[in-house]
Amino acid sequence: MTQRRLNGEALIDRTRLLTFTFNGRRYQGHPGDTLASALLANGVKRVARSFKLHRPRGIFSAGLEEPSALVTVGDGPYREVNVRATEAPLHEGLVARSQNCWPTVNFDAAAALGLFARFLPAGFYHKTFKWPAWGWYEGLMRRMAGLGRLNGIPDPDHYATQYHHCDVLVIGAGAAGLAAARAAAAVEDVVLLDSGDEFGGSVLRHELAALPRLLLLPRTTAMGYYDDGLVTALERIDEVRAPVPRGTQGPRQRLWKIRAARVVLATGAIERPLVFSNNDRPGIMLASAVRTYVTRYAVSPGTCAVIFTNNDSAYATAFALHERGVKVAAVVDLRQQPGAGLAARTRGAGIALHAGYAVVDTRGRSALKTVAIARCDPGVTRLLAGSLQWLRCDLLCVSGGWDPVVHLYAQAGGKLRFDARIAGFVPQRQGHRKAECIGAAAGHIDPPSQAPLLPVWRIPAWGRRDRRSLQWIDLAHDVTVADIELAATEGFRSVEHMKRYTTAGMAVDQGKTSNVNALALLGRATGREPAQVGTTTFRPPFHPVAIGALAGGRVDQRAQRFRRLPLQWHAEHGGVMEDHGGWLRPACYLESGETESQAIDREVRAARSAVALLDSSSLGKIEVCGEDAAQFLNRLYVNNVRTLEPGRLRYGLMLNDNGIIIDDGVLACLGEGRYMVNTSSAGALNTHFWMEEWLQCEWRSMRVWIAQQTAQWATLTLSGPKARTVLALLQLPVNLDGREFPHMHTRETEFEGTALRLRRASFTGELSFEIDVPADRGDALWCRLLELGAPHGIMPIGMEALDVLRVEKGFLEVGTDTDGDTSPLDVGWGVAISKKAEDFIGRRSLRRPAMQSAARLQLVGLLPAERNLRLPVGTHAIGAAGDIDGHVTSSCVSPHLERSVALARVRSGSTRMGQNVSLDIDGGRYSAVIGSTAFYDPKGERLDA
Amino acid sequence: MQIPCPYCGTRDALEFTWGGQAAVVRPADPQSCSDEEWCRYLFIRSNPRGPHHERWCHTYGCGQWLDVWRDTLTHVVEHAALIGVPRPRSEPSA
Amino acid sequence: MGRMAHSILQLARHAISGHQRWPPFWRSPQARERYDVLIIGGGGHGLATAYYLARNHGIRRAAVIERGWLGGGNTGRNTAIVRSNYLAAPSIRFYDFSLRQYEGLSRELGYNIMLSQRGVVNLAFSRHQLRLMNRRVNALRHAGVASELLTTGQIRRLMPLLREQSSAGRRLFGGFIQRRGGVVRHDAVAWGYARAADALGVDIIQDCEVTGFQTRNGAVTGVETRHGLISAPRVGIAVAGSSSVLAAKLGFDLPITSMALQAMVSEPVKPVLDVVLDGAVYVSQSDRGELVIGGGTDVYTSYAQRSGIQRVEDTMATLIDLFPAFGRLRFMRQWAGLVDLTPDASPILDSSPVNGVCLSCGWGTYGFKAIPAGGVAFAHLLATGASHPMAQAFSLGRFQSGALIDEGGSAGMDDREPLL
Repeated sequence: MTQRRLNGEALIDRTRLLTFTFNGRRYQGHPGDTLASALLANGVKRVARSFKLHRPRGIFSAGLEEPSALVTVGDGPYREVNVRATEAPLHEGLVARSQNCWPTVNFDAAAALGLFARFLPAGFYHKTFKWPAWGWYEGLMRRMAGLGRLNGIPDPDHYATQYHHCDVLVIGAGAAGLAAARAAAAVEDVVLLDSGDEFGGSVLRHELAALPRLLLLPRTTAMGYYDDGLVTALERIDEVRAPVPRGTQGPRQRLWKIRAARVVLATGAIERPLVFSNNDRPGIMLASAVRTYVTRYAVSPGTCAVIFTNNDSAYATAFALHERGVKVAAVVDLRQQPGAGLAARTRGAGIALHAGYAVVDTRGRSALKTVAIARCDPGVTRLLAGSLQWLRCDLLCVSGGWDPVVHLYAQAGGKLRFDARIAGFVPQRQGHRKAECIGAAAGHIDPPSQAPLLPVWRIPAWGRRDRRSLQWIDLAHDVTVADIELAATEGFRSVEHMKRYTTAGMAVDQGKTSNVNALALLGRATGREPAQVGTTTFRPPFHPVAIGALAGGRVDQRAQRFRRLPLQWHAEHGGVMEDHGGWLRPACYLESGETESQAIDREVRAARSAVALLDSSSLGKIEVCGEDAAQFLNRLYVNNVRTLEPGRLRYGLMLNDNGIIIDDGVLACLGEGRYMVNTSSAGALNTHFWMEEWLQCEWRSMRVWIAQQTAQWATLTLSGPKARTVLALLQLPVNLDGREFPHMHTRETEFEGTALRLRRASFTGELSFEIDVPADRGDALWCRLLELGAPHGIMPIGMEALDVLRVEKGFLEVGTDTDGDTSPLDVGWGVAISKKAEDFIGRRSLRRPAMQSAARLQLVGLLPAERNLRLPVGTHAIGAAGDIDGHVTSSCVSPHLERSVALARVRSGSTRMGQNVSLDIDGGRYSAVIGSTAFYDPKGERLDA
Repeated sequence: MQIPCPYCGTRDALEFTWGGQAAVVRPADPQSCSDEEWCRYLFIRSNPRGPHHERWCHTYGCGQWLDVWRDTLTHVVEHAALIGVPRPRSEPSA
Repeated sequence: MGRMAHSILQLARHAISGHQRWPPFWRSPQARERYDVLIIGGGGHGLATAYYLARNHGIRRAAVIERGWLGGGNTGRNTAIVRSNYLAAPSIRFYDFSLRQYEGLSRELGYNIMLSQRGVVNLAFSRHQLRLMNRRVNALRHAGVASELLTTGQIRRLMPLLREQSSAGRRLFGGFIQRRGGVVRHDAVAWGYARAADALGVDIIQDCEVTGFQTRNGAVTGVETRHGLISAPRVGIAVAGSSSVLAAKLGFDLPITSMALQAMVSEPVKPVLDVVLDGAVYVSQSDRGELVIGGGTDVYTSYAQRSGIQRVEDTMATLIDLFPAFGRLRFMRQWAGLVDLTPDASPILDSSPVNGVCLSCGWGTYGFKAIPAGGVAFAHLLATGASHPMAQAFSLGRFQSGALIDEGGSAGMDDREPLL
């Protein structure tokens, strides 16, 4: 089949073939392949274009550190962009294509940018595009940038979140991680996770499966370390089953949130490349990656290889290639004296060894064709004249050493130190409080070196031409040595400045293979050692995570926790359910062919002329009991609660200690030391919380008990002239006569064997009965009332009708007619407050000069001169000097008064009764007269009916 | 972050609600306070970088308000107790 | 400023010399013994203040000292949104002055801060929210700040991927837009101001942590730093989340709580969002193609500048409830800023209880957009000892008099817990 597949042992299933397409062409691979290994096996070299200059890019690594080979995988709703080809498991029918190129990856028009590269150094956009304005250029820039293109289709998959607690979490199942997990699992609960699909060979797998206290999580990558040892990890479930269609088969990915007493980081190390001229061509790869392709996938990424290294580890790549019959043209070692054993073995295999040499340039328009090597001095600061030679090869395997993966350790607060032995950053000390690195992650790179690594951050260019702008550091963001030096020249000495100025390390790979080279070169440019430069902050996630996976199960109704009424009836009967203060409540009930405003009008008329039925179950219901309950409520409410007698109700206004109105409601005295507080719907939770805080933290000696009962009771409100008639049909054992049971009184009784409470309180201005029954009885009672009331014209009404009714009546709504600056003095409560002797929360604040100012906004009624014009809420009143004179807070066209009315907060409003204000509606001026807020039945005769 | 609730045991901080600096004393007679004293009680806070004494409510647990000693830099909670229960002397004071 | 204005010609000239001869953005001077004015904090506010001190008031014997690196605090950690769509008249006036300065800043500083006035859109998910928005739009119009209500149809055209009826039950009722609002390359603001201030003679000293203050008879005389004592009769403190720490060294407390503000970015993709969304979730798309997402504050005192996971999960849940097409896009990096919140979500620009020390703090989650105005006003305060007319409402005394300016809603903190 494919020409690059090698003989010998591998972790692919050669007996089966998988067909896939890349950029429209069909190819074949095997189960066990990644997209990258399959592409390499098919000889596909060029897979992507770089971010900024659109240079051709191939496959660089064999893991999640991949900076170059980003492709788009999948079709339709399953399309995923910016997928590292090195991570994507191959499956039958996989469709992948290059991104960020047009028309094709082989001929990309935007590659012409390369001609202007010298005009586009780091931060070039800050130095130009100022005239006429950045906006003129931005559109083009935005289209050029970005990588893949989203499909714009809602993600059909779902995701899960899983919490887990354990004694020890081991991250990474290499030799060190396996050993640590096995040892710990004998005595503790252990989780071992690894990005790969399998843990070791079959023998080991059986052995691990026999450990009952060990939980294995394959295909799982640790993402972040958070406070108190919380580690997040992403498990990719989709990789083990057919990719499409998947919608109903369970989650695509699972976000683990693992809380471990101890975290062991066996996360290994990532190989670092060497920086030389034209080091970004397809065919130039990490030496360790080539080894992985050869041994794991039996793929040779090229037919003739050169190894370029400054350390011992890359020799293994030479031997692996050689043993499988791939020609190795040369090993180029920067060190004058490579390890003697390795040198002998290399030469013994017939491979040319160029010690004290460097690769100084490469050629090959679409992929690597030749490399130039030259002799260098021991410090690799100079190249020896006349030593240049060109070697033909199509694969260059580079190794600049190893960087321990210390991301999670650093996120845990662990400090790093620069270890000259490996020329990389390692944990400062073993035994961090909760997170510990072991193995390669701690800087113990295997196998032990025969000769030390030679730290070289940049290979000098051959010849006199300045090639620093062709010496690539960050392949993902096209950052070069010249860019880093420019940053240093311009004064960006801090590593964080350099990162932000050049964007090195800010691409999707977060600089996993480039950060150390970049900071070391910044150090060189500013005369500092890498240890002095330091690293940038390691931020989560270690590897990017789908947004859907982070949302996890918090989708649909769990994405926003609206509170729901206990009655199911509304939505099934035309109720338009909307957010009202965090509750989903009916705005109105639409009958067929009706507009919303017609429905609202119909509902309002029913309340005024017959009887309306309203679901008020969202009213907060908080029971406050105990011998100090009266005193407690007296301190929390502006009103005098001590004088409230059993069986009676009182309206209450609640402030915070800054004197601002935060809630209102109705307090019922059910008996001696026993109160039911009805809060606003929006305040149902907060007011309870508020009460508990004062009781528990401030007034701890008070004998008071508070019980949140909002959800236990359904509250149905009958309101209208026929409310009593309809209620009487229930035949409750309560005398409903107005003299026996007057307005602002409450009764407790029974109905069909369960408790029922009645309150004569009204938010509509009409005779009203609020009926509490246990929540599960709400639907039945609702239907019963509709049935009994039908002959009397009963009608369910929603929140919009209620709003009209209460505005006509001039009833205040906290949060609508008040804001974060409204005191009770601003809504006409000054006199009532002056009559109360005791202190209450917020009282002291009312005495401050700004609260006493005569120029405050005060709540008044407005009667617009244009009787039919409904004033938009938020309309501003404009004073004579053009200053803001107030604003409309609520308004309606009153069906009863047949005219427009409004509530407004007007500067010094209470002293301006009868005066005109000038309103600005879309630039037009309208006049209105200031008056009382009570437009409808100002004497309250209908309430007392 | 985790908080050891004396009733419920150690729980994730997401079950708790923060209540600001603890032991801010509300004047016994607010009406006799100057505006400055009242402002100090209402708004002025110590807001230290390091060990801090705060109150938290175990909202999604027992509902109790707690005195919590926590480091605002490291987020390490050193001690949590019911309000008014003194902090044991043996606790390190950081 | 012509001398130092960056331009395309310069770029071409330097291209020929291989970009090796660009002058440094700023000098790295040793601190002098004495300055007329010393500004603590090398973020946007401190640097802008230094620039305007020199430019507007001729005070060039001034220095900015910074504990870490320039712009390394909230200036480099925010979501880079600029807007002036506030509610209270003093706020609108102040933030719109700031936005107008931003509009001319690239040319003034000779450095492209990449102001992208793509429009800031707020969404209403209830009739109530829509009515409140109308009040805000009218307040803005009255102040001469253009803004307009949007119908759901207009919003659909602005954000084709937004879902109007979310599966969580959110229903879109409309919104409003300030078209002049947008985003800026945040780092460039710090760098541009630093470069301009340096050119006017201001010393900018990095890696210089303040360890204490020297005072005599209730007045400041100097600042103790890691580099030694620096004398100055006037000291401006512009250190965001660390304001209380420095105030404590001076012996007073502030009405401020420091918290972690979370933010995050996704991997870059081709354009999918052309406006800035400022509402249930804060999101815009950077010029590189990343979605920049504001995650809200962790509601407890924190100096950690460290990320949490809870806010990320909540924010992402809201994001995909509104934009389900973002579900497969990957989140790439998260970070946290250290913000200084006041009880009314408005800043403090005032003298302090210690003579000679002035405060620019309480910038909470809205400091970035205020940098130019904050710089102008703070420079005025430091130079003249009197509040700038547009900043008089932002006094420390308002907490005593009760003249708070409640901007909880427009500062994007609708869901905050009460800070009282």
